[in-house]
Formats: sequence, C-alpha cells, structure tokens
Amino acid sequence: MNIFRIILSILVCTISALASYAESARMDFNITLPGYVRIEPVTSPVLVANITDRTGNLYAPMSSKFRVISNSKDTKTLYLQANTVTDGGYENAMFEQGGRVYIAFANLAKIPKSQSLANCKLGGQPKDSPGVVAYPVTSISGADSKFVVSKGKYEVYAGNGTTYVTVNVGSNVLKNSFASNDPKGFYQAVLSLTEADI
Amino acid sequence: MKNNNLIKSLILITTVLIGTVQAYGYAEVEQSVTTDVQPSVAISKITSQETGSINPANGVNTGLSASFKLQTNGTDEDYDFIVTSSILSMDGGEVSAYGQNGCLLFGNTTSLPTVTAIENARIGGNENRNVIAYPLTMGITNPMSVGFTNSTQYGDCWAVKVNNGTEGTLTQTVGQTPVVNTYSVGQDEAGAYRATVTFTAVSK
Amino acid sequence: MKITKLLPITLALLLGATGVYAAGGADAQSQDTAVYTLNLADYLRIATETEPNASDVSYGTEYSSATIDTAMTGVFKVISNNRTQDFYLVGTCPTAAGTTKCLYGADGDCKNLKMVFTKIDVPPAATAVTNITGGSPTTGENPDAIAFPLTITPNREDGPDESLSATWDTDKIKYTMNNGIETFTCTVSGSNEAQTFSTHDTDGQYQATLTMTETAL
Repeated sequence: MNIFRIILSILVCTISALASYAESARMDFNITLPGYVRIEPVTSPVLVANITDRTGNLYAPMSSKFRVISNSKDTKTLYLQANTVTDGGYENAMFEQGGRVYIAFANLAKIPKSQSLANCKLGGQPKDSPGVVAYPVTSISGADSKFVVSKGKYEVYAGNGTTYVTVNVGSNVLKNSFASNDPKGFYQAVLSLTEADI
Repeated sequence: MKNNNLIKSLILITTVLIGTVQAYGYAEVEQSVTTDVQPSVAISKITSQETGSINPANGVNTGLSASFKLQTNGTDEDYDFIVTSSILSMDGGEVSAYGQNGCLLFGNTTSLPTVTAIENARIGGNENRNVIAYPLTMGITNPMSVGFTNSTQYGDCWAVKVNNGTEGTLTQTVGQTPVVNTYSVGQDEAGAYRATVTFTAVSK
Repeated sequence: MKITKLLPITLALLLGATGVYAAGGADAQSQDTAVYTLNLADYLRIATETEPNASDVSYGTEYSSATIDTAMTGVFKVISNNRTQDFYLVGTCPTAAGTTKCLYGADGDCKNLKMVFTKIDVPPAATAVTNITGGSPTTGENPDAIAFPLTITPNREDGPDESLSATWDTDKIKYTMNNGIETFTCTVSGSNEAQTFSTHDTDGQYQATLTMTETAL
C-alpha cells in the first residue's frame, strides 16, 4: 500500500511538471561600460603671482578650477600637485609648514636655482631662497581632500558624476620665503589634478 | 421401399450439389453430374492495424498494416482482383491515394490538401502541404501474385492474379519512414491524416 | 423422422452454411476496406539559433552619450505545425527585485522598439527601469539603467505564405503565425535613448535578456 502511494505521488508530480512545461528560448545581450574619468581645467591651472612692492603680498588671491567627470560608483582618489621651474627642471612646489600648505612660485624672468626651491620648502631664512616665494593654499572646495606630506601633494576625493574642484591660493606671502633678493615681477607655479599618482 | 431409396439418393445428390462451394472437387458419388457452376469470390479483412501516430519531429509513423483473405473458384479471366485507394482533396473530391511505386498518400482530414498538393506528393515533390506519402508493400501467398500497375480501366492500383489458386492472404504494410520530401514540419499541419484502401473482385 | 421432412431441413442448413461466404448470390462479399488513420501530434519548437555577441560601449564627449561598439545580433527560430500558433517575445533585465520587464516604445509592426539594460553586479531598483519604460525618462532617475534601440526582423523560412501578425501586448510582443518555420533576427545597436544615460550609469557589465515563449509570462 505504501509503495502504491509513493508511485501515485510520483505520477502526480510528473504529470504536474509536464503540464507546466512551456516551450521557450532566451538570449542574453551583454554590454560593458568601461571606467571613465575626465579631468579638465575650467580656468587656467597656471598660477601667476605679480610682485609689485616690497611686501611680497599680492593685490588679490589666486585660484584655479578643475572639472572632474567620473562614472565610477566609488569615490575616485585624484592627486593635486603644484610644480615650478628651476634650473633643476620642473619640480614639485607644494610643501607644508607650520600646519599650512604652501605653493612655491619661481621667478619667470630669472630661473632660480633648484637649491633655492629646496631651501624654501625646508623652511630656511628668507634670503636662502632667492627667486622663489611661497603663498598659502587657503582652501580646496568642491571635494574632500587631504595633504600627504610625504608625497608633497593633495589627495582629492571625487564622487560619481561631475565635480568642480577649486584651489584657492592666498595673497599673503610666506614671510620666510621673501626677501630683497626676490625681485619684483612675475612668479609662476602650475597646478595639476590627475587620476594617476605621478 | 424402392421409393425411399430413390428419395434418399436424391437427397444425397442435392446435398452434394448445394454443398459444392464448401467441398468442391471432392466427389462423394461415382456418378458425376455436369452442371454450370457460377464463379464466386469472398474477400474479407482478417487482421489490421489501422490507426497510429506520426512523430512530428521527423514524420515517422508507428506502423500500419492489414491482411485480407481471398477465396475464389474463379480465375483471372473471371475477375479483376484489384486494390484501389482514395484520399480526400479540398477541390477534387476523392482521388487515388497512390504515388510513385505504389506508395500511399495520407491527407489531413481537417485541412484538406489540394489536388495540386496531392499530385506533387505523388511524384515525391516538396510542395505538398497536408499530404504525407509512405511506402506501401504488398505480399500475397503462392500461387497468387500482386503488382502495382496503371490500368486503363481502374487507374493506379495493385493488381492481384490468382494464377489458378483458390485461396490466398494479401498482406499490406505501410512503411514507417515518409517518402523523402513529402513530410515537412512546416508544411504539414497537426491533425489526423487518412488513406483508404479497398480490395475488390470485379466480375469481368 | 421421415426423409421427406429431413430434406428441407438439410437444404436450409446447407444454404445457411454457404451464406457465410460468396456463392454468387445477393449477399456475397467481394470487397473489403482498410481505412488508415495516422495522428500527427501538435509540434512547437522555439530555439535560440544564434546567440548575440557581447559589446563594449564608447562614450560621447564628456560622457554625453553611450554607443554600442559592435552591433549585437541574435536569432530565434520558431517551428510549429499548428494551423495558428501564438507566442510572445518578452524582454527582462536584472533589478534589485529580481528581474523587470524592459521592452517599450514599439512601433506599429513591432519591428523597432527599445530595450533597457541594467547593471549586473548591483542591479538598480525596478523604478530605474520603469522610469524609462514609462515613456518619459528623466536623466538622474534611472541610475544604472540605459535604453538602446532594438530591431526585430522576422523571416518566413518554410510553410504557407500567410502573414505573421505582431501586436504590442502591454509589455511584450504577441505573435500569431500559421504553421511553418519563422526566424526572428534581434539586433541591438546604436546609441542610448535620450534621457537614459548619464554619469549615474556607472562602469561595469550591463545586461538585457530576450525570451521567446509559448505562454504569456
């Protein structure tokens, strides 16, 4: 009797399964969206300081704006650095001093020595950095950021979508970077915001 | 007494004469009585498998067959023993269901095939919606014989010759694999397909 | 019993006996018939004859658009021996709820329509899809869901020359065909439908599935 019931159950299950079968076929379409990060300057990344008096201070602060487009769902870490030109070439110009981040600007008319830049970054005496003067990064707006001392650059955290990153540089010169051996005229530093940690 | 004997003889003779069909050629009396015996024939279907199914994936059917018993005291001069067939068409009524080499054409009974489709299937073409042809084999016991022929009188038919035999069994078998090109899953609608075969003795 | 009575009885019996088969008389059977009937069962087969290739996507300037690099083409084949056969083409894409119907915007003969693709690894909410399939998509309200054009080209391979009918049935195509063999070439190519693509559509694998089926899912 038990066996009969088992067989009956199997039959019922089989018939039910057969009754629910429907002829069908499928095809999957698959596409891949590659990662996309686009960084472009909205305003010039070249910061120019025009020293016109003996204070070394500027009439107005400087700023540079970047636009970042990212299709990542995760926050992207970008790298913001500044460079300036010495007789040693294109060198990193960001440094921290006394808890603040500064950018060193090199004289355009007379390219300073590499040692001059190094002295400025190391916090030497005003006369130790002829042709190099430094101004503070007052803020970075539009995205979270963190200055990495060991690298001499900022990590900037850009989320999904379009992000405008503005770097604001103050007009008050770093006192121990400016002396009488820093002539009036144009001093320059160039900002770059990159995906790669170069 | 003499009267009784005569009557008994008469009874015996009458019995012999009337019982000729069942016991012909077996004389019970030495005195033969000459009379005109009319030829007679009996045809009956003795076994058959007349229904089956077709696998739609390939047109193969489950097998069909029929056996007929033929008894006659007639000869091939007295009768034409013929096996004819019919299939129902949409636009021509009943027509012969034979094709090449005596194969048998089956027609959809709900979506009737056209005469054009039937004619196409006869010659093994592939433009024959709702017609499927299967091979047909016929056999008959010795000394009788059977063959496919196109007769002016009867059209396409399988013709049986008794060859002076008096009893034989005709066996017909419908092959399971369709004649090439006559079955197509796209052309032949689902449903019942039919062919009718008739074994007839026609007095000449 | 007298022989005179026996004779008629004997005659009657003999005539009765010979009546079983032909004796040249009125009830002779000189013909018999076999009526052969074969039942051809219903048959329906739906198969994917060709699977579509996968493709990368290229972006317009500043992520303004997404274009499929290589047209993706798949082919269904439907074989039926039924006088009339209904079947359906359904599109689905992965969503947080499982899958969501993703076909919309069909033209009159259902040969040109649109299909929504969604991200596979973390599928979006169904609302991202319905924002598009509703017919008035809004950029930003369909994250990780992108619609592309889909074309369907039917072709009669065998069977009577009767026409295939295709009608839009809420969220799928309903086909009716006569017995025969029909193929359906389905191609996704081109650029995204307007308002369905933005940076909210994050990088990764996206998928949409077409199913040809006997029953309305």
